[in-house]
This record gives sequence, C-alpha cells and structure tokens, in this order.
Amino acid sequence: MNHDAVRRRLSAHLEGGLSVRAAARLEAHLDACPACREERDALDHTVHLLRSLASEEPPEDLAAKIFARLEAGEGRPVAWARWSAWWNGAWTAPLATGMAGLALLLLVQTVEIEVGWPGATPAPRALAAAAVPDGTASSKAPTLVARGPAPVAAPERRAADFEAGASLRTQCLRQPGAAACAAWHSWLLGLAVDEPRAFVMEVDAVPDAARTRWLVDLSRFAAHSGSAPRVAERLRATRDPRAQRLAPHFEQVSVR
Amino acid sequence: MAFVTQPLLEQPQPLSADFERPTPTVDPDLELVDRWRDGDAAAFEQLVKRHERRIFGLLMRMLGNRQEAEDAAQDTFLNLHRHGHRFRREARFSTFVYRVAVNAALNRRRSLGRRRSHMDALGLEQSVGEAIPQGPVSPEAATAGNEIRLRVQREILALPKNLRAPVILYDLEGLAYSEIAEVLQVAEGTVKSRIHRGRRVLRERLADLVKRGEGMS
Ligand SMILES: [Zn+2]
Repeated sequence: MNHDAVRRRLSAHLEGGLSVRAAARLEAHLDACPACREERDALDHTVHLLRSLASEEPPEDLAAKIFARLEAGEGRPVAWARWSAWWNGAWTAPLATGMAGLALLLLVQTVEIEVGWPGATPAPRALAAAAVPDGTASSKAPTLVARGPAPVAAPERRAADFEAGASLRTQCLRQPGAAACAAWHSWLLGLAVDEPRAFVMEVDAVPDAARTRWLVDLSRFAAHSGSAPRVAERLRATRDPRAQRLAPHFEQVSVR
Repeated sequence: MAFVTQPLLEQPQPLSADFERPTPTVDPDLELVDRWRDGDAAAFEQLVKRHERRIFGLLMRMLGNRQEAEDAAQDTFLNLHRHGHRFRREARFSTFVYRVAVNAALNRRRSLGRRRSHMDALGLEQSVGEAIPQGPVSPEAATAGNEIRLRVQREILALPKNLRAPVILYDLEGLAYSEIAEVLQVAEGTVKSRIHRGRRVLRERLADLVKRGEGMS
C-alpha cells in the first residue's frame, strides 16, 4: 500500500470501516511511515474538532411561530391543493353543464376535504357529506370528457374517509349507477394512484359475489376519467401480487 | 359514448385479508404521528417540540446564520405538515424530518445566492459568539476556543454542497450511514465516500489549527 492509498483510506480506517486484511496492511504501513502517521493524527484531530462544536439552541419562540403560521392556514397538506385543482379543472367544468347535481355533490366534497387531515379542525366529514344521495344527480355514470388530466393524487385519507368510503360502497353496491358510485369510484381511483396497497384492501372489502361485475364498472369509470393508465401503472409498480392481478382491469378497458 | 371492456385475462382473485404491511421499525414518534394523522393538531405540536432543537442545530450548521436557520426551521415544519402524508414508515420519522430540513436548507441557500455570503459571515460570527458555553474558563482561553470554533464552522460552510451535508449529518449530528443515505436519497456507499472526502478537505483547510495541535477549550 503506497502513501496515497493509505491516506485515502485513513478516514474509513478511523471509523473501523476497512476489512480486517485492509486494516492490517494499513497499520503495517503506518508503523513504518512517520508521514502517514502524522496524517492520521491530523485527520483524527480534525474529526475531534468537528465533533466538539457545541450545538446551538433554537429561539424560545420558534415553536410558537410555527403554530401561528399553521393557524393562519399555511402548511396545508399539498395533496388537497392538487385534488382541488383536479376536481375544479377536470371534473367540475364539464359536470356543471349537464350534471349540476353531481357537480354540487363533488364541490361539497372538495370543500370538506380542505379542513381534513391533519389540520386544526377536527372531525373531517369529507366523504360523509358526499354520501348523502342527491335527488337531482343523474343515476348514470357521469358523461365526462375523457381527455381531462388524470387524477394524480387524492387527499390524504384518514380513518374517517375510509368509513365514509364504506358508506358510499354500501350505497353503490345496493344501487349500481347511483350518485354515490361516482363519488366512491373517484375516491377509489385517487387512492389507487396514491396508495395502491390501500386500494387493494378496499377492493377486497367488496363482497365476492359483486366484485367481478363491479370491477367492470370501476374500470369503465377509470377509462372515462382518463385515469385508467395511471392506475394500471401504479398497481403494476407494487410488488404485491394482488395489486398485480387487478392491473389488467385498467389496462384492457377503453373508451370508444 | 360507449365503453368496451375487453375480456379479462383472468377473473379477479379473492383478496385475502392477511395483507402484509411493511414492518414498522421501533420508532418513538409513531404514536404521535398516528394521532396527528387522525386529525389531532396537539400531536403535531408535540412532534415540533420534540424535534425543533435538533433541527435548528442542524440548520445552524448548514446555513451558519441564526436568522436563516430559524426561517429554514419554520419552513421545515410547515413543509412537514404539508407533506407528512409522504412518510411511509420505511424509515424513522426523525430521519424523515431531517430529510425535509436538509431540503429546506438547500432551497434556502440556493435562493440566497452569493450576494448574501457576506451577511452570512457576519451572522455566523455573531451566532458563534452567542454559543459560547459559560464556564470556568479564562477569558483568553474562551476567546481562543471561540476563534477555533468560528474557523471550523466557516470551513464546514465552505465545503462543496454534496460533501457538506454528509459530514454534518455524520460527525456533528451522529446519524448512521444508512440514515444519511435515506435523508439524502443516495446510496450508502456514496455517503461514506463523501464523508471521507469531506473530512480530507477539512483536514487540508484546517491544517494550521491541526498542526498547532490546538484544542477547543
Ligand atoms: Zn506513508
């Protein structure tokens, strides 16, 4: 081992990061080489200097300032902003023309989600609000423009959202095509993109007898909203075999 | 408009309930994180109080100026609140917080630009002065020790960006290689080589101090 090789390895050697053999060869060189020994001591001293720097205390009001900014509405979860833009841009506009009822339903959902996780306002009622059937809403799948941006992310889900999702599931499975289905399906597709494994669990919650038929509805809804390719891609990207088995539903569906 | 669903390759399989979840590591913050995610704002406040000291210390190292460090610390916790849903429990929560903080520091330095470097140096001088621990040390020794601290802190700040964070996280904050790899999103081998390179640069730049065998007290 020459001087250069020794010096390149000194720092790792100080950390015990060399193999036993490499360490032994390095030590043998150090025994015979005063210059490299001096270098080792200098590096050791440098590390000592670094480690003996005292830590700085934060200002006493740091936490209070952070909480004040949160109170003022800063730091709101970013997924909400994307979700909101998605609804308002890609969905609400086409809906407003022919499906005012459903659009209203979806807007209620958006507004409620704003105060959801994990803000200061307790008890998010996001999907529970959407779960109230709206008499004016169409009972068919929404006729949306298929070319909108895919839902890249949905809001953070909390236990309350999953409870509300379960309520929508009950309504939708009882009456396929109900307004609740649109809200539930769009929530599920957002979940599939954000947290594919959680999505798999939601699919699992659908009774076996209904699942096959319902998956056709869901995949149509995904094709219609333009989110099917993204959902398929996210499911493929997991290593979970159950997610893998769901992916073909979203790959083989098309809007014609 | 009509939909056509082509025949599926296979029927959907029943999805069993014994769904595997990533095994959580022992992480003292998880209980608070869960409460926060359930909408408990007080839990987030506790997380801030638990981590503010270390995060501010780290940001002081990375930015060298109390005001900048305070601003970056505020950014860190607001960003944490904003992006907390990205925390997937594959690493410790504290590692995730460090990651957000390092990003806040890098963003801040980028936006500061070089025109502020002079002010940085002034702020650093002041802040290191404030940090002198009170103790039974002679005024001369205290001043000498302080000058050395100031030099070391300056040379850390002058390190190339890609070497600075690894050295700070390892030698000053005491993180493990694997945690630093997680914070910086680079391979563990890269972390090690950057720490070793960073130390060698510092050893060269602090050669006068090291050769004189100066200590800090
Ligand atoms: Zn040598």
